[in-house]
Amino acid sequence: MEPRTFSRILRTSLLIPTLVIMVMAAIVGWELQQLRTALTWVDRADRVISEMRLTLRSMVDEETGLRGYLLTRRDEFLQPYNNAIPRVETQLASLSDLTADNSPQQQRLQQIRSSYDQWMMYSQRMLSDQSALTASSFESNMEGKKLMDQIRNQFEETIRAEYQLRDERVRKSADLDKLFLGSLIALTVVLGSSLAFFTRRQLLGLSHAYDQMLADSRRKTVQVEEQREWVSTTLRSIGDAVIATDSEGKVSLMNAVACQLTGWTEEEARGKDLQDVFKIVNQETREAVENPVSKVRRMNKVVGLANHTVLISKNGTEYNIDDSGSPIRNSDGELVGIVLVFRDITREYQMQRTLRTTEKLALAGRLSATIAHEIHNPLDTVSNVLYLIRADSQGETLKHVDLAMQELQRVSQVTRSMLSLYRESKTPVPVSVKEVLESVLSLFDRKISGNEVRIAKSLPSSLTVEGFPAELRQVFSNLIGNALDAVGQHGALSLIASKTAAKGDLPAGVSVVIADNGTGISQDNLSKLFLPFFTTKGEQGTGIGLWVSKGIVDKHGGTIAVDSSTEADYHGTSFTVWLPEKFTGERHSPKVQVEMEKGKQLETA
Amino acid sequence: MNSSNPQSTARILCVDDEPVGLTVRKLLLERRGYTVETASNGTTALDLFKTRPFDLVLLDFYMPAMNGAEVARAMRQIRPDARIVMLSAYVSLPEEALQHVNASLTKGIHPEVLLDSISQIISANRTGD
Repeated sequence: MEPRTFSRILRTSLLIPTLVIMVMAAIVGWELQQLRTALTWVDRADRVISEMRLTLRSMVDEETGLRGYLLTRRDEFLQPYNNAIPRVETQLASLSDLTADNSPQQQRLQQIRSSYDQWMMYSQRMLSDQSALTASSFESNMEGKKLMDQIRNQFEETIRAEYQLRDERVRKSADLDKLFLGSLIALTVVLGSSLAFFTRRQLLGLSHAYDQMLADSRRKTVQVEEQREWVSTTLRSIGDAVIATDSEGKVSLMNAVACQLTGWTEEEARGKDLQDVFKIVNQETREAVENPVSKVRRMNKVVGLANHTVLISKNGTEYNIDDSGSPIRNSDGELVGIVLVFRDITREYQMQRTLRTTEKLALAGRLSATIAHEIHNPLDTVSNVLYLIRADSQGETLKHVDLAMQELQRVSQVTRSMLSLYRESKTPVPVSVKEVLESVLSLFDRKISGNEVRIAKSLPSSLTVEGFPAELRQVFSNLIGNALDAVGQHGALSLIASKTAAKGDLPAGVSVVIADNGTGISQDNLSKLFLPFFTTKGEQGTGIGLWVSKGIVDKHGGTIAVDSSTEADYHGTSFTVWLPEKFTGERHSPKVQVEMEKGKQLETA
Repeated sequence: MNSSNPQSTARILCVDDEPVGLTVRKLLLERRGYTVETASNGTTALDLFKTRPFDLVLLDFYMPAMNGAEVARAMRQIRPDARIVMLSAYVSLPEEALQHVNASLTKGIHPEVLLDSISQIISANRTGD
């Protein structure tokens, strides 16, 4: 129901009873007026009756005075008579006024008047006749008495008539009273019941409307609840992680994927600052990435995250993520929150990185093949020329030629090592880690026994990885050779291989730790260790061993890490090579080729 | 060098498209006592190979028109027991390229390694004869 309709009902509910009461009041007022008029008429009859009695008494006073005078001839007896005459005149005039509306009474009063006039003439005659005889004569007295009796009778009759009139008027007013009371009761009953009926109808209408309104709001509540449920289910079903915040950047909503990636439950995270829940750093620099909330606020539009963004979850797990933040605006366009959508791209990121490495290796391979031709040909000629010169030399010259040949051999060794890395690969084969390491150790037999180096080994024969045996042999040959150089005489070396279970996006693999108790590598040098042409061995080193090793390990989809200490009581270096059980880095397999195209698209996107 | 080497009479055909390298290699081999003939491409080499016998052919791999592997196959078709050594600027040649040669060496190796290899292959064949 609309509020306007509601107020209209309220208005009529107030107006109609008011009108009814006013009508009732008018009727009652009119009736009271009628009743009062009726009673006034009764009152007037009363006054007429009383006035008549008074007039009659005045007349009797006259008679008594006259009679007394006539008997005694003393003037004091005549006093009442004289006093009464003007009074009677006044009273008769008053009566005539009071009965002006009633002609029968007027007629009767007229008769009384004439009878009085006759009596007055009689009295005048008696007063003027000085003879006592006449005055006391029986006839004279009889005449006066007769006249007075007539007057008395006439008054009696008039008063009776007035009484009749009064009774009639009293009856009439009583009737009117009854009628009014009856009509009032009837009117009250009729109006009251119709008012009750009307009010009931209004109230019923109102209550119906109210019920409808309640039902409406209940239905709307259910609809809103259903809608909320739907939105929440939809959010939960989204494969990407979603976090919504208010305008202050406090988390207000998180879906299941977001909970899984951040390691927070929605209950824990609600109301917390986004930075606390959604910790992101740059993968390369490890520096915090700009908070998406402030970024969205600043740009005031949908923003994407920078590349190489890593999300650090509550338990420390890191995920490469791809995300976007969008402002949430209300209908007035004000920023009321921010919604963040992100997804785990760790696998894609690693794949892309592997592919980039593979691609670089392939490019480098092609380049090096071309360069090899251009270097090896003149190198070969120069070597041969020097060899020819050497045959004719002696003394100083022979020494110089030998030195030149030695240096040339170094160049040849470097180029060959570098180029061997990019030789065309065949398909990877299962390689026994124990066999590879044992064969490499056997190469260094003389050096180990000569320097009396102690070797501790833990190489389970069950461990295998897929790869290229010659290349892996080159990796371990580099690492073990370096370790032996580092420990010198009476040092110790440990080789430990172990299986690693699949964890997160890392597949199962084998980890090989090669540790020595040499002097260790300084922090400064550690950071340059895998760079090409970096060496700590002076003339003895080529500076490409670790660089090549890293290239091979990368190509196998593995990792190589180094840890070192130069502390006096705890020094040494350990290299950890991890290789996946299943070869993943081979670029000629059709699977990777497809992904490589994908990687290219991603890169150009 | 040692001119009394019993192999000194051996005849070697040297094939390379690099004239300077070819000349120096000829000198090196001649100094060791071998009789050396040279060719700067596969066609010339095959022509020479058809007309006279050689104890060993020293073949470059990367040459225009016809590469070392093709020349080696053609020579083995003429003489299946031809002794051929592939000398390449590449570190590792595909396996199929080395199907018809006795040995493969990388350019830039120490000359003595080259001479030793040649000497071994020739004497092995000589004793097999």
